[in-house]
Amino acid sequence: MRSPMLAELAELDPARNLEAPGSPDDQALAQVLAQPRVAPAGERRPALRRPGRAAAVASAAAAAVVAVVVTTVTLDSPAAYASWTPVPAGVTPADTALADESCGGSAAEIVEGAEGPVVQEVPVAPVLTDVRGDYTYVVVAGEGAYGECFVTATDERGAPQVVTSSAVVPELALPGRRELTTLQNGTASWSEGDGAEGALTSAFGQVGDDVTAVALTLTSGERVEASVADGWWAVWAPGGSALGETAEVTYADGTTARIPVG
Amino acid sequence: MGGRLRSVDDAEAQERLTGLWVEHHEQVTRFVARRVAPELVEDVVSESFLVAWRRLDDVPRDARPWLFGVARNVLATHLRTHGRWRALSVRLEQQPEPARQGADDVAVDRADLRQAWELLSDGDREVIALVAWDGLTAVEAARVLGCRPTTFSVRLTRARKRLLAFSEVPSETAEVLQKLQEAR
Repeated sequence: MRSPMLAELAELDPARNLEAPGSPDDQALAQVLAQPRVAPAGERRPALRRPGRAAAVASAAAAAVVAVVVTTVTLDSPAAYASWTPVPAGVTPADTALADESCGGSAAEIVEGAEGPVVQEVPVAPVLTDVRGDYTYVVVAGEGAYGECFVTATDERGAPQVVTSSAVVPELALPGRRELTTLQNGTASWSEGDGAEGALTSAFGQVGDDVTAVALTLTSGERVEASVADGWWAVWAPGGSALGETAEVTYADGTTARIPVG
Repeated sequence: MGGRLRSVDDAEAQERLTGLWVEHHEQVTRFVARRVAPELVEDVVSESFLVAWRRLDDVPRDARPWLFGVARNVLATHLRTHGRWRALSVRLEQQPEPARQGADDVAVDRADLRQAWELLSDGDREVIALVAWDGLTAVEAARVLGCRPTTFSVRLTRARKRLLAFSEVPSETAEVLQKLQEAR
């Protein structure tokens, strides 16, 4: 598996000379062993992290993500997501089956538990399927968990490329009858599929019972219709930062309103 | 243990985690150091082993990919609190060593490779790093990323192709591309 190029790359490894042998006498190990193996319920007390460190990790890492997106956008191919359409296609039973097969499962996340980080797994299942050209974008949800799943056209070996991202939250706040909530809205580099297609922008959330349609305007000026089904809405478009900041919402009585997409 | 359900008792658990620590601490530390700033490495490594401590019954015999996966999740969780997360950024060694700055072919190749690496997406960097730096097989790397080994192999092949293609981009073009990225 290791080509000469990968062997050469090994020389650029920033950690290749890092020495950090673990010893049974390490103080850091003693700190871990001093923690209860089962976190007592009802307590929220970070176990090992010092205050301020977590924020520093997050901001440094967030900066890295921004850089990634920029890279991808800059190198975006004009033909990226060529079969994408501003209006979603009807969802066929085959699309639903693909969504079930590719995107179900569980949302797993390390969350801050009573005594420090714990792994939380929540079963999720598709709640909305959005089909545009060769791409199937799926919103999944479970109790206190939601996520998105992007299934590209099949690759040369015949297997669809699937990329997922999910989050576990304490509670999903339901929208009022004439409102919508936004659970995710941002640009991503779906480089796990065919990376040549580059960045895309996606947004999804929940809608109130009176909402029958949601449409957004792309930064290019083009109007794009979201999929709306079973109390959920979702939309995606090729390119970085492609979606406008408000949505045009149509209600069951035929009236419309503009609502910010957070 | 009597007839109780299988669950390692405290002494056994301590021994097991100590064993994992001794055997894998350096590799996990390197894995994390490739992905975050040096001052944060210790905390992330400790958190990762704390997860292992809490889930000791779940740690497989081949623990290294599992531990890498946990460390990746710990990093990702930090990230998610401030923004969307898709792929972790894998850092490159900051500066070439002085011995490599000569005009020999190897140094030139390495400069091309460095340039190509900077142009890759984070996703591509991650799959390559899992093999080239973290030293995993496709099966192990797939376990870290939570995908099928065949999917990982496809991704690795594509990432390598792009790395090769980018290494052949003239340096002037690469500079322009990077300036465009910085300007955005």
